[in-house]
Amino acid sequence: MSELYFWNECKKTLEKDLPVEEYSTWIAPLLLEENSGSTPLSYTVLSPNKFISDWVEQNYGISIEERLSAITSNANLNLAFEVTSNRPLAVNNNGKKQPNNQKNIEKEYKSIKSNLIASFNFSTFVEGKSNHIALAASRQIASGLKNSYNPLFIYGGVGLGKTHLMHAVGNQLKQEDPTKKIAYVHSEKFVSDMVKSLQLGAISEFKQHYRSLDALLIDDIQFFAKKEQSQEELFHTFNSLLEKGSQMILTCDRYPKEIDGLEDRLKSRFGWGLPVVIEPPELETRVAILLSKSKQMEQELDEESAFFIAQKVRSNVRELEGALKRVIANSNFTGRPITVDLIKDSLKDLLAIQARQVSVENIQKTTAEYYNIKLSDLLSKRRSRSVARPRQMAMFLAKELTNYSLPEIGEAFGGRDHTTVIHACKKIRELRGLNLDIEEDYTKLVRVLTI
Amino acid sequence: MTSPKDPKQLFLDIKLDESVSLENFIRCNSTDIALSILSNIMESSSISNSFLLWGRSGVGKSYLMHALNRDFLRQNLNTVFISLSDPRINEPAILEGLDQMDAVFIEDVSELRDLEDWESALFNLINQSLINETKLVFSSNCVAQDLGVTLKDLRSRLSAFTAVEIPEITEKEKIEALLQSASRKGIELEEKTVKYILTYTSRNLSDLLRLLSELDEFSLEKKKKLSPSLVRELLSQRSSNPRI
Repeated sequence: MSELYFWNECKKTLEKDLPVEEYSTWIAPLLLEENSGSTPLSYTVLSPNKFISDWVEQNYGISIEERLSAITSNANLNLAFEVTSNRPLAVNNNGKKQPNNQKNIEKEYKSIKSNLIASFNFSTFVEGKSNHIALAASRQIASGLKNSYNPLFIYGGVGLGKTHLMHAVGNQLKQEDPTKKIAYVHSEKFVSDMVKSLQLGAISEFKQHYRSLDALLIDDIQFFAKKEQSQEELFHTFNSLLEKGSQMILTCDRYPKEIDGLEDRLKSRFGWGLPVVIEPPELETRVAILLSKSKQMEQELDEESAFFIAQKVRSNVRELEGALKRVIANSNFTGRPITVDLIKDSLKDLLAIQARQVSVENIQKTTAEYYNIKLSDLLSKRRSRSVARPRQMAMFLAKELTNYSLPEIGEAFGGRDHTTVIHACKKIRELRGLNLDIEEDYTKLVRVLTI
Repeated sequence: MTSPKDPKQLFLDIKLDESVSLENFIRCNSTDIALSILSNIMESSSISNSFLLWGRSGVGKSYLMHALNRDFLRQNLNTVFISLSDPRINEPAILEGLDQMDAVFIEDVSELRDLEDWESALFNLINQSLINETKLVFSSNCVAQDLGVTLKDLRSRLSAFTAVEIPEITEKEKIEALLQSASRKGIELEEKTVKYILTYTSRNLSDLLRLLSELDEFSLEKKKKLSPSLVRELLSQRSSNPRI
């Protein structure tokens, strides 16, 4: 769309007359489009969404019309208000979508991009104990081994790299065969696109688009919970794609059977292929992630500094990345090299928050007091039930309430192996369903620890 | 609803004039790093596409957000500025489709507490902005980890934002800020007047800078030189209590 010079003039006058909040929220995002072939000349003010469009029309409509009439010396100017996203979109030089004049919904779906993020590839994914099975399965699918695991269901907590892995598969598949129709979509986007298609009477194009893909990657499938109509559509899309041999990759924050509000037939289908888990990264992997990310950003980070950040930021990779960017920004703009001192200065608020969080030491102390045993016994090698059960409970609480990885929890409990922690967690999980006393112990301890 | 001909002023009544800029924000030891990071946001070499400006109320986050927005507008980029404290912005539908902009400014994300629909809408915006490489600049009175957001996926995404602390400046720096601002406006501000302002008004930087603008207009209106007695007169006009 060519920029209408008088629209800029009109915006300038509004900018001059309105307070900055008014202008920045309601006027700055507007575009003006000439309706071709209309007599008398008519224009459409395009807003990014209906809320803004309605507000602008109601509150600024007359003012905009008067200003445009004055600037163009056209007293009979017709002005309409519409939402940009309700129109087919073309991509401009900046890569941003701009409206055009073709009212053809089908075209929009045909031209839809894969939505793959190029930087999320296998070379930037750091392998560790916590993710190596998921990585191996993803690599196998990306290598083109048809239907090796279909669907691949990657599950685990937030910010652990599930999205990165699914993009990596998509990018490699696309790289090896650019003609392949591959689409990444977040579950919320799938749902909102479906709703919009229904509103615009374009649901058959929506269905056709998704069912014609060679690979469909859907992120955070738990967002389909309790959305029955969307689940119905997903179910048919799923069947259709699997029937024609297209690959599906799904991510979720939990194991398929644990998703509340999801139809059983979907849960069952999600488990048909290979469900693989990604655990929170252990210390060594966090260090490797930091070193890899700093290298990608062409910044120098020594192991001591990476180790310090990794020790302090345990929760997930996103938080780790956020912390690293803050440190690098501070280093760049102060000219100070990245050292532990600079990290402490840059992340002082974050470190204070971490300190407030529940510590494993506190869990051990509180659990020992609750069961009236000595802390040293809890950490000892003794296996009598009076000590073993509280120890299992404390390990389970550490897994539930902290971001420690299984090996780190084992280490904190007298240097035990991570399989001991897995066993403890499994045991307590089972007992909570069978033994009311254990359930009560758990509830009370959580309450004490999280107040 | 507010009509453009009769706008209800809910916030600082600042026009988008040349005075709102990063260059005109108080630059001192406390703010130096933050300003350096922010001045680089538009560059292709920018460390990140998403930033969270955080700091206590009144440290100038709003000013800086508008100054950054102005820089984007100067480059003919499409932007939108949403303040979650604005009572007119009462539906999460306002966040739909904003990833198609070049930059999205969202002020006061700390207002999101326990609002499920808003959290989902913001989460969608962040996801789509990642794909469309839309710059996101948010502000808040705390870091992402302390936001009290219920949706853990959203909290995690916000924690990946590059957090830029807008620190509170020292008393000495506040005096400097007032003098710098006065000098830009061509106001002669004596030390005794500065001392009076700092003793009898809010020490919040935003309030101080706003007061200076008001004093400028008041002194022109009264045709009097800026002095402690003129400040007292303005304050007594505003309220029976001279403390703001």
